Amino acid sequence: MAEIEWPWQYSFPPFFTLQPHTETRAKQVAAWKSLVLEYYRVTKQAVVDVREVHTNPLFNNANINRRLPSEAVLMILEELAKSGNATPLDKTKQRWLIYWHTLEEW
Amino acid sequence: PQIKTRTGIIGIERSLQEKQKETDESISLAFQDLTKLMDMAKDMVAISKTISAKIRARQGDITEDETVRFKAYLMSLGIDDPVTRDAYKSSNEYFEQLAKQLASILEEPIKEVGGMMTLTDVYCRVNRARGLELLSPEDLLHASRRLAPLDLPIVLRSFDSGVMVLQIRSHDDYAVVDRITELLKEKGSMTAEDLAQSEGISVLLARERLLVTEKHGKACRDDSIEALKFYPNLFLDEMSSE
Repeated sequence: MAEIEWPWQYSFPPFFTLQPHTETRAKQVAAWKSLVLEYYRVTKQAVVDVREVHTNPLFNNANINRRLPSEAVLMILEELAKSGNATPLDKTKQRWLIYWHTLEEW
Repeated sequence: PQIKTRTGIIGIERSLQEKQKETDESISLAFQDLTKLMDMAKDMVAISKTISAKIRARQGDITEDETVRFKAYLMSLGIDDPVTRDAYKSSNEYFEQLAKQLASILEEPIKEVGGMMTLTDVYCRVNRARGLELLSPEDLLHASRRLAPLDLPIVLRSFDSGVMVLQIRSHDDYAVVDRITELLKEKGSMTAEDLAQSEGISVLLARERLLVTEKHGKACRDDSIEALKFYPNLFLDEMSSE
């Protein structure tokens, strides 16, 4: 598996708590979106299972002992879906496809 | 006539019975008086309600002074009828006087603890100092509400969390936010307990200060099993410096 270069946010604990401040949250979500895309592009994966995200180093930083709660993961995936970078594979929204590039870009 | 036996078990039993009868009587007497008292109070309530209805009907006919006096009556009976009462006078004279007193006794202590004191702390302080003629929590709250309109040096403030504090009028949120931002940068991260210790304020207030800082976009939170920690808001800082 190819090594990804983690952004500074990845080792910043507040990154793993959904921020209540609107502006801050917008920045946080944007950072998450680009990180998710980058990660899946580098590791050449395409399927996210929300039930298994805690085994995924992307959402689980063992170094600082923080992980993103499932609700937040789901929220980010939904944000990605809005910009056309992800689609749910089933109705319960447990499995998601990640598009490194949006369909339009292809 | 009854023969009084003073000896033997019967004698003891009889004297016990007599004592019991006596206490029974005094107890029922006391309760009788109480019901009488309550009946009277009921009448007073009824009367004051009709008076307030009359005031409503003849608004303006009655002088200011009479309304004030009427409110004083309501106060002394312990009837809370704020809806009709508030329509005639913003609050009671008693509260105004109390507000003035609060301002004069609390200004110094509040300055000492950093310009802000929770209402519960104020309640403790005032009542402990008084000893007799204590304040009820509601009296204190009403009086505190009157602080701002009276232009007194301290004012009541409620946070988003519902915590109420008395603060010095000159208190400035921005100054606090700046100070906390500095502290956060210095220490990297802080919990409410850390801040409480380093600033010598209560944990409750420390928490509110951090939340205010967060609201101004100068801090962000890290909520984990360890604690709720606050960090400098790098999300916004990094972006603006880029």
